[in-house]
Amino acid sequence: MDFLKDLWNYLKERKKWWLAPLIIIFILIGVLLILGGTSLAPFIYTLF
Amino acid sequence: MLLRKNKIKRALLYTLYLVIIVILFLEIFLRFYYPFPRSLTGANWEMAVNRTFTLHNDLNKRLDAVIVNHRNSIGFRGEEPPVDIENKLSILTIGGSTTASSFISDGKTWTDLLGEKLKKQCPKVWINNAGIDGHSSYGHLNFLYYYVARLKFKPKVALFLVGVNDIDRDDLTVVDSSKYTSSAFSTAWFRRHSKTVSFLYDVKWIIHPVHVYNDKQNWDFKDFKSIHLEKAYIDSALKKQDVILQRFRERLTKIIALCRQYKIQPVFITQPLVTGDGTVNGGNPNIDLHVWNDTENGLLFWKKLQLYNNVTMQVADANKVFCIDLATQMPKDTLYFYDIMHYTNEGSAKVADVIYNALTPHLTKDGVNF
Repeated sequence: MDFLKDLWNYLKERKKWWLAPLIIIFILIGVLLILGGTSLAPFIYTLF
Repeated sequence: MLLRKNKIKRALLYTLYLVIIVILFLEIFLRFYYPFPRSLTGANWEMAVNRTFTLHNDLNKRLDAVIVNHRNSIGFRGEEPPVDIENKLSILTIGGSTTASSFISDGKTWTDLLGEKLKKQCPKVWINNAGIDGHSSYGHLNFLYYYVARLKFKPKVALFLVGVNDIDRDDLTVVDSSKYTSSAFSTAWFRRHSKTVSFLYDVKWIIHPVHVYNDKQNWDFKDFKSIHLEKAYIDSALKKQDVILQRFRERLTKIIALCRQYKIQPVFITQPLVTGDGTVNGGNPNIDLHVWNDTENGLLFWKKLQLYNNVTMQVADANKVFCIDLATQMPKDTLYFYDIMHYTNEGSAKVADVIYNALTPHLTKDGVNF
């Protein structure tokens, strides 16, 4: 959490807002990898 | 004022930049790595292939502590399709969660056990479980049309365990085959072209299994809320099924036509529930009164399902399709069910027995060399 706070402060102070998508993308990669590894992944109900 | 306007403009432009970059990235990344076992992007089915999922179950002692689901190279549960599949008696089991048996480990599902039994009599049997959680007859039709049709081989026999996921589904009113083209979906274009949109749909449905898995009331027959329903309420709930039943009938007829077009022999199986005979199970509260779907009970759910099972048998009869009445042959015993409709390991073995006993004479009569 501190790391994210530091990153936010860095973007704010240096005004490097164009870097924000990169950070969001890295977070998304993490979330996707976690989702793929979760044991609930095969139990998606499609209700189709 | 001008400064403020510029500030808003810059903020909007920046948000747009952020959204575009992130969506672009997601589109690219999800094409290389899709975290879920299957996706439906418009009409394009994609199944997780060659993957093993392991669930550590600490909620229900009546199920295995470690549940393993392996998906083969075509995304189904079971053996790989052999090279000489055309010389095999290839069978697919198609249905919703009661077929998929996601909480039953590989080798213990009714499909696996049925396969074992059939192979003892006929070594050339090859069977796979193509069940998909939550699928109704609409889903089966779509699955046949867009996935099975594109497989390199067509199974010789398809067993359909249908009914329970069609109950109350008044949103599934489409029966025309033209509707199975992707343009029938309101968000078709995006789902067909965008992995991100497809992914968001899957994320939405992830909430559902988490709910099913965590809902202890579904899992415990000793401790649940009971609900009594007035006859007028029951009659009204059954009456509401009329239109849905007609659509169900039309879809089953279409499934038969589609199977015959692909030279697949369809076999229908009616769907059992643990509720519906009014027994007081081992001194526990009467499970027929088990609250189901918040406002109804197990008995009403069974009464509804009976309507669908009757249609399944009628359609089979009218179209000369073999139908196994599992619903009446399956004992209503909590030993065999871990909730109102899903089978335990013992239940899976019982289902396999019933289907095997009915199917073998039929296949023999039909000229299959046992």
